[in-house]
Amino acid sequence: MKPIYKYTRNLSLSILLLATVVSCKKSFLEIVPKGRIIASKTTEYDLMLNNLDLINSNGDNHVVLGDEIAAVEPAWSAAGYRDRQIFKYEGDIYTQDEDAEETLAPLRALYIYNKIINEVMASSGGTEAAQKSIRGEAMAGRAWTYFFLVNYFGKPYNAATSATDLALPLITAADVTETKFERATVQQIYDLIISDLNTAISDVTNTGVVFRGRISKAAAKGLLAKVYMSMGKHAEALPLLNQSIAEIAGPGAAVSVALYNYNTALPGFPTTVNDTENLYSKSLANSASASSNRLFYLTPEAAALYDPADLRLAPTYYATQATPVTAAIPAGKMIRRIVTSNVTHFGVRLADLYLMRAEVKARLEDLPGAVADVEFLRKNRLPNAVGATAAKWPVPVQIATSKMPLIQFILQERIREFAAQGYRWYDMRRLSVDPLFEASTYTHKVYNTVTGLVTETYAFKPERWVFKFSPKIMGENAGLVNNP
Amino acid sequence: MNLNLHLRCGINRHALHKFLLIMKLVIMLLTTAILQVSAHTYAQKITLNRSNTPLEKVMKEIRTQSGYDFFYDLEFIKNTKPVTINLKNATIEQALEQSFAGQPLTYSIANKIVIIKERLITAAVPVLLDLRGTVLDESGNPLAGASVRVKGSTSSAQTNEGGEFSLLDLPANAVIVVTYVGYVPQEIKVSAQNAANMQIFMKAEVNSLTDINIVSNGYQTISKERSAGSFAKVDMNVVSNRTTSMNILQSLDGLVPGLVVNNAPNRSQLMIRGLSTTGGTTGVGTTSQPLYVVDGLAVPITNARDNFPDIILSINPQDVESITVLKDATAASIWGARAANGVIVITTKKGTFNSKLKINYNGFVNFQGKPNLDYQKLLNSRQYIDVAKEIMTPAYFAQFPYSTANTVTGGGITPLDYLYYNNGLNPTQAQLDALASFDNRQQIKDLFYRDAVLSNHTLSLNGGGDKYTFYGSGSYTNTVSSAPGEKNNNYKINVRQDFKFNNRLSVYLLTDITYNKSSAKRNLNIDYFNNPYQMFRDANGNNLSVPTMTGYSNDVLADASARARVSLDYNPLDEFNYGSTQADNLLARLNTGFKLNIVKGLRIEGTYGYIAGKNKNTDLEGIQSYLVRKEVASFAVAASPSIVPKYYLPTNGLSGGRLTNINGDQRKWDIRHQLIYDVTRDKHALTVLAGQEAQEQFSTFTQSRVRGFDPTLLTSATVDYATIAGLVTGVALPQLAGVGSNLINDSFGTAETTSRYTSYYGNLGYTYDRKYTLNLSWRNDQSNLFGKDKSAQNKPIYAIGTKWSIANEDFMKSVTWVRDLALRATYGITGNSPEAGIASSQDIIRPGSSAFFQNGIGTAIQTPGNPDLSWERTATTNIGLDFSVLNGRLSASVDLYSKKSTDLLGLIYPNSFTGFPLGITGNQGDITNKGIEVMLHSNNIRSQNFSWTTNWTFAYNKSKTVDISSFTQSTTGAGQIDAIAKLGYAAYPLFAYKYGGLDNSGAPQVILADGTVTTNPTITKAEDLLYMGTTQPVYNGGLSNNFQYKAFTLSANMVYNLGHVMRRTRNLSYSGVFRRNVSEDFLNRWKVPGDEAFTDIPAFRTTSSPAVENNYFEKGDINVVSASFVKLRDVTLFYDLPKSLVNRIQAQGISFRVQLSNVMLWTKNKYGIDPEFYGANYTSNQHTVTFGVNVSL
Repeated sequence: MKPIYKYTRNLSLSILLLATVVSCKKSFLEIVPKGRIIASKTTEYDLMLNNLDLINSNGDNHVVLGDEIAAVEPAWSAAGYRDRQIFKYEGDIYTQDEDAEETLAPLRALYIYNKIINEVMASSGGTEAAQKSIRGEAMAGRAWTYFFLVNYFGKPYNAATSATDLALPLITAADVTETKFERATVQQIYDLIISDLNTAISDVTNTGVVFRGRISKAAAKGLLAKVYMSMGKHAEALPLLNQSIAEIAGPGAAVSVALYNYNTALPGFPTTVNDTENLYSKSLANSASASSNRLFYLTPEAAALYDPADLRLAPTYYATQATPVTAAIPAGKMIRRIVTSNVTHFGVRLADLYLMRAEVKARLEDLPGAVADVEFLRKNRLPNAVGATAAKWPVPVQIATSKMPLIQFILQERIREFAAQGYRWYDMRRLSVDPLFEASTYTHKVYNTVTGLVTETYAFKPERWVFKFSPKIMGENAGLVNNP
Repeated sequence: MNLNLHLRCGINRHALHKFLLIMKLVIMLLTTAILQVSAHTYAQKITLNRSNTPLEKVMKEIRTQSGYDFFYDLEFIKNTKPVTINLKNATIEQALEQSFAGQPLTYSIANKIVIIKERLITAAVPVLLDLRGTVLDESGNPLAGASVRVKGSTSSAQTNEGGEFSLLDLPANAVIVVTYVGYVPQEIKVSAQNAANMQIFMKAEVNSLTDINIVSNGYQTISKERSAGSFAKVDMNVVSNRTTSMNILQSLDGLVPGLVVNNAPNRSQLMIRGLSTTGGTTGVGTTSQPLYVVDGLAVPITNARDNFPDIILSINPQDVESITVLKDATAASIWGARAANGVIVITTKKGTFNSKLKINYNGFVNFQGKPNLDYQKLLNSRQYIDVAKEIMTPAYFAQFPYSTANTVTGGGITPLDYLYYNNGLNPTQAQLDALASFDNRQQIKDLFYRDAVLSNHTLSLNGGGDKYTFYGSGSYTNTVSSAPGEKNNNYKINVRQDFKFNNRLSVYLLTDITYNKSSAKRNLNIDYFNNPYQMFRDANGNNLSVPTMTGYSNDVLADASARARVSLDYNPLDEFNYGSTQADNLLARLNTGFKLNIVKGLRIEGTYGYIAGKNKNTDLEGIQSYLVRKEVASFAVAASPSIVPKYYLPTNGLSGGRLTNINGDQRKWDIRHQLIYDVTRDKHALTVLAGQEAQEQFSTFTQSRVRGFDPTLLTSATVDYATIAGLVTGVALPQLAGVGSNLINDSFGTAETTSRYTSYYGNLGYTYDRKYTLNLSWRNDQSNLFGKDKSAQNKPIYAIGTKWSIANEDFMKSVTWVRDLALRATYGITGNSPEAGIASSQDIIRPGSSAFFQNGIGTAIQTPGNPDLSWERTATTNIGLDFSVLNGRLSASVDLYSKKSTDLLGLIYPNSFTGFPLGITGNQGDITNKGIEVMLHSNNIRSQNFSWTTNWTFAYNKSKTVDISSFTQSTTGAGQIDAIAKLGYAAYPLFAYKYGGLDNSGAPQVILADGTVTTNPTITKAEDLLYMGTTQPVYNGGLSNNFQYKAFTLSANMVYNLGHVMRRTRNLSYSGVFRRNVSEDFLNRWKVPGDEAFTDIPAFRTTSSPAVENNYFEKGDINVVSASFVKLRDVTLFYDLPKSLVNRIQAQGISFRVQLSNVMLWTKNKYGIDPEFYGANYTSNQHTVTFGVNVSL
């Protein structure tokens, strides 16, 4: 029996010793990592709104779809596949494995916004008001993202068909493992946008612009007005525009928002958070307006919209010469090469607010109000009276007193202000369903810079009011119905 | 029992020698009471005059005078007669003969020991002897499991744990044969004199199988006989003599079946038994590297991006005692969640108890030469100019007009371009010829490269008494790289001490300190892809400015220089001295531990490790550095040269350069306690081990950068980062799209990571009757790798293994030609978890800073949460056979394995609608690896003066992706062409387009699955691609032959990797700016319609319309070639100086060696591609020569 006793003793001893050596504090693994964290505090969700993915986007294909854009040789022959396809209004613009510009950055932004919206209310260390304000900012950001996405993939808003027109999937959760996506209707997307913006308007703390990278009530209201305008709801847009402009310097405002007066100095290319014309910063890399661009020019028609004295034509922004240097642009054609910065600001901009309000007022028969708003902008863009030379900025009288010519003038002012910045395509879309306007026909032309002759012409195809989902997305989502 | 033992302490050569002998005799003490008398003097001759003196006293006297020890039983002395003796200058033999005359005792002398025994009474009848003995190794350690066989009889025995055996009723003069794996068999005649206490010292075979019987898994050293696991021990003779690199891992090539070593410089990938994770290939997630264990503790894997010294790289191969590769689950599962890729256990040397002091010097110089810059066959200057003339047509310049090239974003203008632009796009032939007359290759080779030399000197000492041993080494490594101006000196001290306090407690302490100091100048990293006509030094020896290398045109530089009032001259050879980088690394590895025997069979072991590493990097761009001047110009605002510029950065005039300091700091500690219960009773042998360990890895680095630094005054200037973080416009040399410049505050940066692990493990080994073995092991790992669900952590890892030692079965006793035969079967799970912060079930965010953020600080999603994420699990089944036949002439291990890795961690591609189509780390799918591994050792010829041994390793691996997540599948041809996994195919599959040749416009065509031939760039689907094979070797291994003739040894090691494929790098150009040299094949490209009949190489196109897909050619089936190769890795000739000569200078051995490395290459491709340098611009470290010497004292 002795051995058995011995073994038992040894075994007990082993267990005892083992228990002694292995007993270690449970908290050993519970350390707070540095540098990489899992968000839990309210302040961390606040920091999440400071993210370059939420500011920058690379989608500039819609810029090329605008009717103010022409292409020129010889760059046209050497142009890349996508530039050529999009300019020709072809739907297939991506090779098989490419990630679409229209979805890549915006959907990543949606992930971040959805995460904040779904989680911030359960975060620690913040008051409910602070949490709601952060959630409100994220909702406004989500609305902004969806607004551009619904314009990419859903038909222009038409109340009669919006409940059946397909847009893109409605994604409200941040989940990379989700694989089932079905397209929601245009109406569903707009409902979410409006609901998000209304929540934002009520929950965001700051009324005035505190920092251009962050949402204020003023910016959210301006954005909602823009959304209403694209739905044809001009009456709903007006009060929002009034409030937005009025509240820029409201409670919480910490940066000034004002138009640059080109008569005083050209602003050059301030970065998106330093551009005083921004209420809310969003920017995209726009290759059509980069100085390296040799392919896309303004059409002669668009160029003709400018008064020759228009300060926006300064050499800082436009070149009047083509390449090579020896081949001057044929006289009278007025094709201008765009040499702006390749960064386009397309967040909530003050010039846009004034032009939107001018258009809304004109539509609602407030013509003097409309003229005042458009002239407010033009005073900062065109020369004042110098000696005998009359000021160039007033709206011609015969236009100022007539509703439709005035609306047309304001729309042209939008081209003058935002040429080659992508704004035009959004305007073309909403006008296509606007009862005031007949369906327009648009063409894209390729010019030979030496002869000035049109060498190729492409007629607009109505199916190009929307982008097709890329082959990659279609490959990933078997049941998805693509746009034609 | 009356035990009386006197020992002398202190270390001198005699004493050490004596202790060794005493050790050998310790076993005898267990059965017989022996008195041992100490001696104090060592006279060889004995002078003695005594009468009627007790024998014991006489013996003491003889002992004193002779230095010989006496061993005897006190009982014997009782019956002896007094002695009368008269000796003068007598020998010991004479003295003993007189003393023992007529005594009932007999004696024998061995090794200065006189062993006294009772004289046996001879009988007339045949005497049957009972043989009892002990089998010991050279150091006197018992050898358990040695086979003792009686020649010509079936009678045999095996030694027990103590090395003891007994054979009863043997006839006198019987001959026993003692065999033990790895040792030279011995035949001994049994006699009455030696039967009672036979000590058999076995001599180790001098070959790779030395002490292969003991393997270490990092937690315990185990008798291989008692383990069912698949262990492979590396032949350290080959490893320590491989001298092309101080990286010990690179030296493992071809020595371990199933271990693939990529030996190309800067690519240290080791793979054991095929791919069981894909994370490592994509640079995220998990590593495909095995787990490295040094002296029992896992070391962190250091990435090149970490600013820390690498622990593995710091190990001096000369200090390594053994390397064991753990391959199957039973061997590796004790390492748990990090062992799925196998484990490499490195054990460094230690001293031996009771051994003499040994001093060893080993030094070598490895002459590596310059890289082979001619490896890729490119155009010479004449050809390049001729080709350029063909390409640079008016249409070409329409795309790249001067007005575009001559801008900040134009990319620079080469001298050749200028010839065109300055001459109306139509230079004369004479102008072109003038350019073509220059060829810079010789200058590149001479001015930017030098002969690389690696040298190492290691001096080591080791020795030990009965309570203390040590091994210490100091080494110096000088790495002279092929880049002029670089210095790299490595100094290292490594000391291991073992203390044995008593029978219960022993302690060790390992101190390993490495200091590395390196520096570099601004040597231009350039190869023959540069413009071949661009000289760097003129005929008069003046260094030339090469403005084209700045990427700016001359006008842009002149304008910026004038406006910023800063020289923007770029002279590559002058730049050499304008900056420097210094790095200081200090790495200390401290290990300590104890073993405490609590009661018999039960012991507790503690292991404690601490690693501290410091790294300091100082990078100075001097005042004259182009980089500094350019930075100044990029932030100097002046509309014209006449305006005094406004400088936003400190200028040359004020002070100087840019200093960047990076300080890295890493600490790691380990604590491990384990209990081991080890009992052998009758036929049962049981070892139970249970333990717990905790580990923390901490690393941090801090970077600071100042501008306007004056290296003499040590002052720096202030910079207004707040302003320049925004866009500064109107600058002389804009950085951003020709618009302006901006610079985010880079004056400070820091990062910090802490990883903690805690693990519990247990292990059981049971052997019955030396025949049947069972191994069980279990482990649970938890870590703070945050973001993982607790449930994902509690996945225990386990393994079960069995072994049948057939050779020990009774029915095998008669099969004398088989010495060892065992069958192993194991099954188990190992794991692999993602690195901290890489993959997670919750979103991991990291901070970011930008001028676009409120208060400058924001965050970004580092890794989106993946709730489905789980650890990678690899289930391995292994069946192995070990045998040794013909007296150990031929021994082999054969392993068959089947591995299934599930939930493979790697880059997966979530649905585009989730926002992360570019990939996240996740579970990709399942992959299987099946294979065969053979390790064969054969003593082909064994004679007195000549021997020839061969080691052959062979591995066959077949992998297959058996399941794949929907995230990972590519449906398009473009997506599939570079995919790393495809359902139903091998891991690392290589797909290719079916090349359809060129059409009549020189555009490459693809042949689709339905036979359509097209140039359409977007048409291919995944199913249109051809599977060409895998890029991982299917067959791999090595063959070593060692020939020894007298003092000469010739060793040749060959490695082979066969059965895989690779893409052929073509180095062509198809469109765009023609500025980079191209392959000679470019001469054969399509030029005019009709060329498609005899060339496959697509046209160079100046316009991109219509769109073409040159990948149809580049990644076409015609450009996939076999990657198989056999390389004679090294041939070494050793010469041992004759013993007589060596002894004259008091040395034990001196040997010289000459080694040729990477001597010969056989490949299956006909394009001269060395698959080890696939895709590289040049090869290096081939055909190197090493001279080495080894001196032991």
